[in-house]
Amino acid sequence: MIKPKDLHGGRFLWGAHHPHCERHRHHLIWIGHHPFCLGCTAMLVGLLLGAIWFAFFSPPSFTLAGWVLFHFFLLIPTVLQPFLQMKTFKILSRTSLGFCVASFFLTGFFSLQQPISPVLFHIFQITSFFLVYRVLSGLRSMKIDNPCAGCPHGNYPVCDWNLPRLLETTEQKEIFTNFKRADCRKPL
Amino acid sequence: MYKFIMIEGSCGSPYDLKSCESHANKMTTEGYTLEHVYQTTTASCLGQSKRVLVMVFKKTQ
Repeated sequence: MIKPKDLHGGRFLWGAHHPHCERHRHHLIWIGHHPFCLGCTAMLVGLLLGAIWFAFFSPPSFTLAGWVLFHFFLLIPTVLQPFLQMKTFKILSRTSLGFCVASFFLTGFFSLQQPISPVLFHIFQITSFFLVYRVLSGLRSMKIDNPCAGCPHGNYPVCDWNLPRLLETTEQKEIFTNFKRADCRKPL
Repeated sequence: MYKFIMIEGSCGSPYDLKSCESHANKMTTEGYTLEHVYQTTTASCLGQSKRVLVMVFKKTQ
């Protein structure tokens, strides 16, 4: 009976969420010598900006329609981003998304004059958040960007680019030392 | 001589065992035996994770 073993060198660097190779450059942002996931980092920046905006810059008192429109406006870059795979636009869209999420909850909970009872309004608010999340995730999965697809070096983690990391242990060295791209099959 | 087959799963979505089985059977008919299985879990965006299974086959002498 063969038991699965942990693949040494198969994990991403901390916080990177992607291989840090050249083909994934538009998914990464380098801080010093360490790569971080561009989407998650930009979204975190957006969340912080939204929280700072709310805490220190007294957001306008929205009507319900104005509040809904304001947050839909902030979501526009996220809707367009799967179709515009550019690094700068991705930074903008994820920052805008983070700002939108922070503002949506903070203004919705603490500064919006709610036209219905607060409990009903918060149920509506949380339900609509998850509905929009599902719609946007669905849209993103329709146009997913996978830099490993069609890569001449193969699919991470068993690819030529990652080979030096796979060869770091003696046992894996014996197996992967003669690795050839042609010997790796990825089932459909 | 080795052959590698990589199968991707994801958080909450297990490996396609039918695919693992059919590939193992196909490799056996081609004269390869399963020698090692490696797996790795990689952290993904928004706290999710992705699993990868690497099946290593060796040509039977």
